[in-house]
Amino acid sequence: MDDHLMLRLVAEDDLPILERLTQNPDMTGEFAWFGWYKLTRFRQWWADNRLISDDIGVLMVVKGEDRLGFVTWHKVPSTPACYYWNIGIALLPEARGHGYGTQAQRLLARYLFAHTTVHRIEAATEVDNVAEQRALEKAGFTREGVLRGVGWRDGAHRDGVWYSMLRTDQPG
Amino acid sequence: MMSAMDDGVALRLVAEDDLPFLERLTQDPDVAGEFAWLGWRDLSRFRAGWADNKLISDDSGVLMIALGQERLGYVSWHKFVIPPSYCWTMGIALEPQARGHGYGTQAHRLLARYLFAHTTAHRIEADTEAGNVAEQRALEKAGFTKEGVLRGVFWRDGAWRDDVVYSLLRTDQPV
Repeated sequence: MDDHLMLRLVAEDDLPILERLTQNPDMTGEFAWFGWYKLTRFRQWWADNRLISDDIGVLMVVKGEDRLGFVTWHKVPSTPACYYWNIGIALLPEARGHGYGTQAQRLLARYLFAHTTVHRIEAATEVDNVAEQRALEKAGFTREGVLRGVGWRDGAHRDGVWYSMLRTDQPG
Repeated sequence: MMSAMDDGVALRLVAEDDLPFLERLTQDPDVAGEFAWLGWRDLSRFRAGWADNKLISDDSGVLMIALGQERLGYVSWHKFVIPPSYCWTMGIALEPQARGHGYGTQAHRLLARYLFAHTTAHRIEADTEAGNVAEQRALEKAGFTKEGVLRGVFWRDGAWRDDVVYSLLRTDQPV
């Protein structure tokens, strides 16, 4: 399975998929529906830099010709002298529950550790999103704690679970 | 409930003649203390920030901690945005002589009260290095809840350091 799942740059005809996965409540799933905002952001960023900059990036998750979803990362400065990456993932409904999230997040961590000097890669998810927590654990991430009321979704403050992978961790 | 020790400790705006004090607390290793000495950087940031907006903006702020005429240290906060919401992250620095008297606890409590009064934030976060036991004790006495340890978050004195995260929610019981 690992042989076929890949991360690749976002092409122009992938943009409708990114938009469906963030702007259509039926596709985002319960935990990723935050309302509509900046509807044209993916198109603008794609026109600007193909969704890759020094501070933020988006890659498609694909298996052969099949598009499964996308992964993202952005820079979190912890002091003026250093930073780490926070990563995220969104999979199409039919791509969920097959272990693709685990593989995609492992590939993204490998990519970021290879091409940047960061020591820490972080991922967070809502406390009830058990599937993502299982995916992160299988990908080798370590659970660090629950940040209370850190997010807002569907009319309520939500608790977030924090995970990380360090460069010095054993590969998962 | 306010303890008797709360009497007198106050937060106030930074005046121009406080700037050398802020600079000593961040740019002199002997004054900063082990956990706050991160090397020299942007030496004029307090002066530039003060000239610009007196160190108060919509996204961040700095206030002096004072006991009468005496300067004890400063507190700071900045906005941590997780769309569509946000929370505040706060920090503190005390003069060496002002440490160990409970002033940090009072200052944290006063800043939390200020931020909950004047902004809609639900969560105020504070973090400190895993080895900084004094700050963890101050946060706990101020009513903050320990949430976890984020590994290898920042670099200080030649090594990656773990960070303990605390929070106070608007809905927490006041202490």
